[in-house]
Parts: sequence; C-alpha cells; structure tokens
Amino acid sequence: MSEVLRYPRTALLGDYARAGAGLAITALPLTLLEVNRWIALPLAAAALLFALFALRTAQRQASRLELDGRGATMHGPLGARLAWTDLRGIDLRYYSTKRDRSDGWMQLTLRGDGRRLRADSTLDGFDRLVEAAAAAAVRNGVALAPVTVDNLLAMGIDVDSIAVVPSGLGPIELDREGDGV
Amino acid sequence: MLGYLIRRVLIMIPTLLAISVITFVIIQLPPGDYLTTLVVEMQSRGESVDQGRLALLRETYGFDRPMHEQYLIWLAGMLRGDFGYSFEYNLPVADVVGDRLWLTAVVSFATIIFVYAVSFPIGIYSATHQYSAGDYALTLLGFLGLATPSFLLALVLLYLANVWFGTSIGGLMDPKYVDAPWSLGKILSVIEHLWVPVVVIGTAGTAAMIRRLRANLLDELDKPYVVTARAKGLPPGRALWKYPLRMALNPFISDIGNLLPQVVSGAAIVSVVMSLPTTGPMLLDSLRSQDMYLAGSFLMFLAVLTVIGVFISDLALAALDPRIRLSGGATR
Repeated sequence: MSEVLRYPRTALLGDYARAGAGLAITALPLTLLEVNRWIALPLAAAALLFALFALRTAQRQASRLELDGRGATMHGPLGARLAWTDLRGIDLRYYSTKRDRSDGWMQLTLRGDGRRLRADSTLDGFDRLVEAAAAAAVRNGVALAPVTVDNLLAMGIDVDSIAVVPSGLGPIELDREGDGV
Repeated sequence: MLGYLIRRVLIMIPTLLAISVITFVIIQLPPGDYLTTLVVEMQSRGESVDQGRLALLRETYGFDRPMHEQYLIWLAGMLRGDFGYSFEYNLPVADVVGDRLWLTAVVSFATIIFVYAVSFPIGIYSATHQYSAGDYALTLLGFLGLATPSFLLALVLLYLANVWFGTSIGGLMDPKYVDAPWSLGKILSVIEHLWVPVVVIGTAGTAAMIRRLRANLLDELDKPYVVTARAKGLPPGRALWKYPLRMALNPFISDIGNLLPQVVSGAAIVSVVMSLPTTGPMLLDSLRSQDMYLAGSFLMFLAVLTVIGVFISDLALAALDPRIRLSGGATR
C-alpha cells in the first residue's frame, strides 16, 4: 500500500513569502537606485539566492512523494525513485536560526544507486518517511553518521543496533591496517 | 541548507537596518550638533560667529530637517557609496577614510591569522602535554599575555623594534612613504612595521584562545570514545586530529563573529598609542567632535563586520554540527 506525501500549503506560502520579501529587499534597491558596485555585488548575489529559493519552492509545490514498501518516489520536476534495497546513504540534519536551536527543521537526504532524494520536515508525513528510510538503512547495513543517529533519536527512532562513532562526526573509515574504531 | 541560508540572510538585512537606525539615533543623542561644537570652540578662542553663515551651513548640511529625513538621506547615500560629508575634514567621508580602511583591514586580517596560527599549536600542545614543564611555561606566557595592557606592550615593542631593527617609531610605514603613492618600497615598509601592532593587538586574543582550546580539547580527550579509539590501536595523532580536535573547534568557529569587530574596535587605543593610520583613532575623534556622518560610517562598518562574522560562524556551525539539541542542552 502506498502513501502520497505533499508539502502543505502553509509551509509553501511561508517559503514564497520569504522569497518575495528577500527579492524585494535585495532586487528593488538594485533596480530603483544607483547602487555602488561594492554594495550591489552582495545584493545581487542575495537576490539570486532568493530567486533560486522561489524556484525550489515552486518545484516543491509541483511535487509529491509516493512512499511504499519498496521505496520512495518523488513525482514532479526533478523527480526520482529510490528503492529501499538500493539505499546506501541516509543523512538527517537539523537546522535552526535561533541561538538556542529551537524552532528548527530537519532535512533528510537519501542516497543510493546514483540517485539522491531530499525532503524537509515540513513535508506532511515526514516522520513516516524517516522511519521507513531508517529501517531500510538498518536492513542494508548502512553506516550512519552520529549526527544522523542523534537526530533520529530525537525523533524517537533508536538505531542502537547500528555501530556508530562518537557524537557529532562522520563514521571512522577503517584504513588498510584495520586500525579504525 | 538553501532554506537555512535564506532564513539567515533574511535575518541579516533587517538586523543591519535596525543597527543603522540605532547608530544614527545614538550619534544624534548628545545635545547640539557639529555646528554647535564648532561655535563653542570658536567662542572659546575668542572668534566671532556669523549667525547668517551658521544658518546657511545648518541648511546645507541638513541639520534643520527632522531626524528621520536625515536618516533616510544618509541610508540612501550609503547604498550609492556616498557615506556623507565629514564636517571636521571638510571632505566626503570616503575621501577622509581613504587608505585607512584598507590598512585597518590589513592589520585586522594579519592579527586574526596571527591569533589562530599561534594559539592553535600551543593550545594543542598544552592539552596533549597537560601539566608538563612546557604546558606550565606556555600557560604562564598565556596569562602574561592576558594580563599585560596592550598599550604597555606597544611601547615596549616599539622601543625594541627601533633599537634592534631600526624600525621607525609609530605608524605603519616609514615617514617618507606617508603621502607617497603605493610602491614596492611602501608595501615593504608596511610589512616591516606590521608585526609590532599585530603582536600587540593579537596577544590578548591569542592568550584567551590558547586557554579555550586547551580546556575544550582536554574535555574531549577525557571522553570514553578517545579511550576506545586508543584501545583499538588508532595512532595517537589520528585519535587526536580525526575527532577530538574537530569537536573542540566549535567554540572557535562561533567566535569568528566576535573576532572581527573586536580586532577592529579593540585596536583603537593601540592605534592611538602607536600612531597607526587605521580607523580606530579617527572613530574616536569623530565621536568626540560629533562628526556624525564620519562616526556613523565607522559604526556601520563595525556593525557590518559583526553581522558578516556571525553569519559566517553560523553557516560553519550548521555545516559542522547539524544536530538537534534536546531539552537541557544535552544532545543524546
């Protein structure tokens, strides 16, 4: 049985508002005033960034993620399918703009078979996607970075059975003499 | 990461606008304006003041307009690269600042490199050789660096540089190059003079950095994963570089935001003592004389440095340690 996940309208509207506000603040002075080139340069770079963000939001609006027992498929522009058996990497990161790191959001990146699938925690049903991906990662014996393990734990997903290295860092790679941890 | 970048930039822009408002209001807060100060100075010298000319100047410089209008004119001017007019120098701010901004940037950048280059190896050595003779000696040196007033160190080093290397006292170049155009000789002269202010300004920061890196690294080295790594035969160097050092770097990175403005503003007193042609002494003078556009431009420069520094450190921290913090600050 499959389930279709989408980005909710409120989250998309918030992102469109951010892109619009950013473009207004950065692009308007560039078009209305004779801005000094040393000030114009960072303003133009920021305007480009906001334009990219608007495009990404539009791509998200047009996309839907189909989740089933065999894998996850992103339909829409830049769509991709990743079978759970092909999953070779999972990365769960947390971002927050607040000093105490509250009110943030998570970003999940799944890799496998030369493909990459990315989703933010604003996606409806994000937790079910993460649970399915984590279970597949355990089945496939994927080495998880401690950042991912910590963030999974924060979501109530315990992956203690997977060998991990100390918190905050990527996994130690064994060298040829096998002197890893 | 794009979403994070967007949100951070969106926070940055209103922050800069808010700082510009506060800066402008603070500059305007003392009673009177530059012309009032000028009149008092002229009267104290016994010179007569032409009220008609005063009114004309007040109108020319826009002092008769409401504060918000003056602010908007100043802000729009800054976007065009026109930072206003320095009343004290009778020149546009950009012309007054001239090379000072670049020289300040050179001194600041060299100081930051010095702080990191010196504190890194010493901090690592002190942590990995805790309570050794070397650790004690470097700790003593660090405390001396923290406790020595920078202006005193400046005077001592100026004297020694003059006696040992024949370097001229004060300034960032030999007197013959002060008003000369830029040449290889002038650049070499700047390099010859640069080490003294860099050591003076950077010493306190270096000492603090050493202490912080030593403490952070000691905390990490005591953790069980390091013991496990060693027990499993990981070479000591790798067991240090691969993880504990990287973990100990977090406070270093979060310090970038404070380092830039601290170096620039903290160097003001040293710059006065050493007669450095940097922005510090000019900022002090402009604040004293209520040269509002010059002072405002300097304060905005410091604010921009702070905001950019915090932005860089936040991006680096988000890339290095994107973990959620559970309640109570624990991560697991």
